[in-house]
Amino acid sequence: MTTVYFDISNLYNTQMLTGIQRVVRSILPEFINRAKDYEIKIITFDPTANLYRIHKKESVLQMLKSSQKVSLGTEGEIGFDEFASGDIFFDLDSSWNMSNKRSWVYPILKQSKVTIYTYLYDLVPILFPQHIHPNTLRNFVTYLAAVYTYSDLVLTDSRSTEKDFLDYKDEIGVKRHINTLVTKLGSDFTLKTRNKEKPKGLRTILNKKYVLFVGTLEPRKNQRLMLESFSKISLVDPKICLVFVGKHGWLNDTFIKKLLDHPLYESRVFWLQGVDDYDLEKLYKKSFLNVYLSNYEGYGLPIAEALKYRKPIIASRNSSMYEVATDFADYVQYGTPNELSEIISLYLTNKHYYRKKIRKIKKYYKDVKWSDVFNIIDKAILSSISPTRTLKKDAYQHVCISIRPDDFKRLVTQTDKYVSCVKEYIVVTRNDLTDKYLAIKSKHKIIVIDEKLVLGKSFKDFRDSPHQRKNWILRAALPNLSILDDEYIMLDDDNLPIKRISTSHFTANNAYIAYYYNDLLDQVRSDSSYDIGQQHTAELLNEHHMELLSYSSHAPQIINKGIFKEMVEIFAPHIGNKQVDEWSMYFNYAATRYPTLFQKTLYQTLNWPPHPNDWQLNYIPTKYSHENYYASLYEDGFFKGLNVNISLKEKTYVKNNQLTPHIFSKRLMNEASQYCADNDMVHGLLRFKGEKNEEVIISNVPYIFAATPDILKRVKANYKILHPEKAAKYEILLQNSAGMNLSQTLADQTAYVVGGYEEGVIELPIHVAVTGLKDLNFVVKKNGKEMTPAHIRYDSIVVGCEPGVNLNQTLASVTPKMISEVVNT
Amino acid sequence: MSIQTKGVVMAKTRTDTLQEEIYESLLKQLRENPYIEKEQIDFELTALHHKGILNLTENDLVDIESNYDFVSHCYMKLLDRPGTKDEIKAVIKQLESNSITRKMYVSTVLSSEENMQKQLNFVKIQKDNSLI
Repeated sequence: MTTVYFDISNLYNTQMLTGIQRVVRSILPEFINRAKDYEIKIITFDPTANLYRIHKKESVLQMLKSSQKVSLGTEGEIGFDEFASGDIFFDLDSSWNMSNKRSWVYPILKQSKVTIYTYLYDLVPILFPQHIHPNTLRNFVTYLAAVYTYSDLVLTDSRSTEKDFLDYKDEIGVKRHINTLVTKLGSDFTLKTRNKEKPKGLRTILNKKYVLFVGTLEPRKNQRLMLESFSKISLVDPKICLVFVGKHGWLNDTFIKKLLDHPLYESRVFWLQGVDDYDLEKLYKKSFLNVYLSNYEGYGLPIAEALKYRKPIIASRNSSMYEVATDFADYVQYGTPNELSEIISLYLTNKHYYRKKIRKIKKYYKDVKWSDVFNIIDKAILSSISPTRTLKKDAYQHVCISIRPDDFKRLVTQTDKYVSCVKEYIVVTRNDLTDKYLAIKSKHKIIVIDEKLVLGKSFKDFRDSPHQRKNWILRAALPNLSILDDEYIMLDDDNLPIKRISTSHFTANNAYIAYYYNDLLDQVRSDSSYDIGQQHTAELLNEHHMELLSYSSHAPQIINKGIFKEMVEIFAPHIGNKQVDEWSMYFNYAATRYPTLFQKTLYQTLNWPPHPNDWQLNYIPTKYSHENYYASLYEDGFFKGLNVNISLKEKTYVKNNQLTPHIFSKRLMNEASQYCADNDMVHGLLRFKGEKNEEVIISNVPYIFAATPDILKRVKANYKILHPEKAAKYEILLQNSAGMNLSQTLADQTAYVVGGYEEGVIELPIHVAVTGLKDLNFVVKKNGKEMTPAHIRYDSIVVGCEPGVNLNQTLASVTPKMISEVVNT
Repeated sequence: MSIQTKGVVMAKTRTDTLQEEIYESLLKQLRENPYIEKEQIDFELTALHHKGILNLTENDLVDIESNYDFVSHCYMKLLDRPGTKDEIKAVIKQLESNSITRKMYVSTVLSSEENMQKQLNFVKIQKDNSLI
């Protein structure tokens, strides 16, 4: 039986209760009590004997739940070279601080063919070295080099940390593929600590109305922003208090002095240290509101904890924070006092909003438990210790659903030309089109199947469903076809190969390659069938603690029939009649459940999106293997006048020309955002009243937008509608004196509906025709009729800059004060 | 002398070289980071970065090229903390004036109160372990 070793030397030596040690204390009992198909051994390093001590599980459990120093009982020992091949060495603790350096330990383990799992909580030491003690930074660099060299699976608490890890890997030139798995973190206090001494003033605080901010007081956590904003907030509600909970962090003396010298300190502003889990739970439960404004997090546990207690939370929208709270939190996107104070003021002054927000959280928020995290990791371990599958086929069935014979014919022609791993084509189509498909010539066999035969009883549902749901129903039924091999290539009829493709495009290192193109949580919110499907897929996968990448990359992908079936069986009961994206459902399930069998890889599809204006480009392919074929692009789009058969090199050249101003525009908007953040130049709330008591509120709107002329830029903001009228159409209109006149409907497609209240993410369409500064006015309409702004009018400025021009040069002639005056006049 | 090659002895492999290259790349990246006050952080030499309590030898330290790196690595490797500027400067002065040798300095650190305390902590842990 495989043994999984957990080295907890650091926890044992420090006996700390918070941070990573809290994670170890919470997850380890799950392994000790629940792991069945492999053996668990808890070890600590003995430096005097140069070996590991193996500890009795009962005494480990006792230690994990104690806030006092507890000794560990020993039941054996193991030398560094005595680990067996196939065993797993699982680094869950802050192992960079240990004296048995991973740069030395990992190579020895690898020599014995031990599998190494590393849990990486964040990349703070590397990304924010200015906030880190030099000793930690020094140790972490050594540790990270070992992880990049030897780890077989790196587990992270968020996609954000996973992306940081992989981006940094590319940046420093590590070529090796490293499997990764996002597990999230639990928010339940499984083992509560209890201190004998209670923090001073706790009882008094619990009887007050307070905003709670939990986290070590350190510069990165940004308690400064909350304290600065409190002067304004304290005037809105004379009863509201502010409570910081956390230890005194490193390099934060200036802030601590400000806090202790605050005129409201110990009357309305409080700081509690040494709070045990029992009291922390009480503090959450009795809080009015929670805030967490960190500049960067690997996860952001206090956000999840606040939501677990069904309390509203305002968080900063960077790194991992949106992953933790999604649309259940409010966000301070630019980190400005104006944004923060106005959103807190809304909670303090509008009881309807406060109640609705809590209702939404209570009704829909599903907290992640430590047992859920264990389930994810447990399955990953089981999949990696199960017998190895050998992925060594020469050719695969190419399975396509199509009702466009001409497109399929083009696909076959191109695929025959470029793809060396086609076994045969299977096309699923309408019965009346069968002959047309059978008439198509190919060097491979074409098998045509009537979709009715595949669907059986589901045909009626299929026939009456919108596009995205049709795809799900049909593809979910495909694995039932006995003609299908265990592995096949799934594709659409417009997925044209544009370079030579062999099996190595679909499998590598004995793993399936899964091509993703976006983050599901960052998809466009619109009422198109596809976008609704993306949003519902994100919500469904998130509820099941799965990874959240978007895999409908509009290119052929390899499918394992058995795993696809598994996914359908698990999720079909939860899908009901919703629209979901079958590609993302399958690959996120598979990558979470079998992380070492699936290799997540950036997509290689040309013209997905068809036009770069279609959505915010989070990922851009570095090379192209397929084209998402749109005839219109060659008729009157960016490829107008070009032959579809021009070389890949030429197509890439044309595409790069198209993308360049968009990439510049993105950078420009980032500069503008930073400028606004640095100068507190973000609107608080844009509020519009209707004829009845309805109100539309737009938040996170900066004073300055920047874009390259003729490039449509999409900037995320948030909206709420209080007392919305049923079936009414609300839209925001952005207009200026230079003729910009674009609107966006406020129509989130979330399944999380609360009566009398709507909220969602909106993408403000920003477009500028010329260079220079132009005004920008925001108007909200209901059924085409303007609503009344609470302020005289709401304005921002849009700056047009040609590629190569520096935003600051363009803004050199104006001062922040002048901009504020324009916006606020 | 309590530092010596202990535990497993391994020949250097291609992967070890890769680890050194990755470590170098990480350092390069960090050295270009404008937020780091370079003077305040001593990173470990590439040749020694994978050496710790288990496989560090006296010669590993004594053979370090510059006096500064030698002293700073004595702090990092033996006491597991960076030396302060003043601490390092004082030792370098002694080395340059030949009032001590490198070997003598290693012995001094090993028999220092700080190192003893560190060792005692380890012993305490082991004692705790044996109690149950």
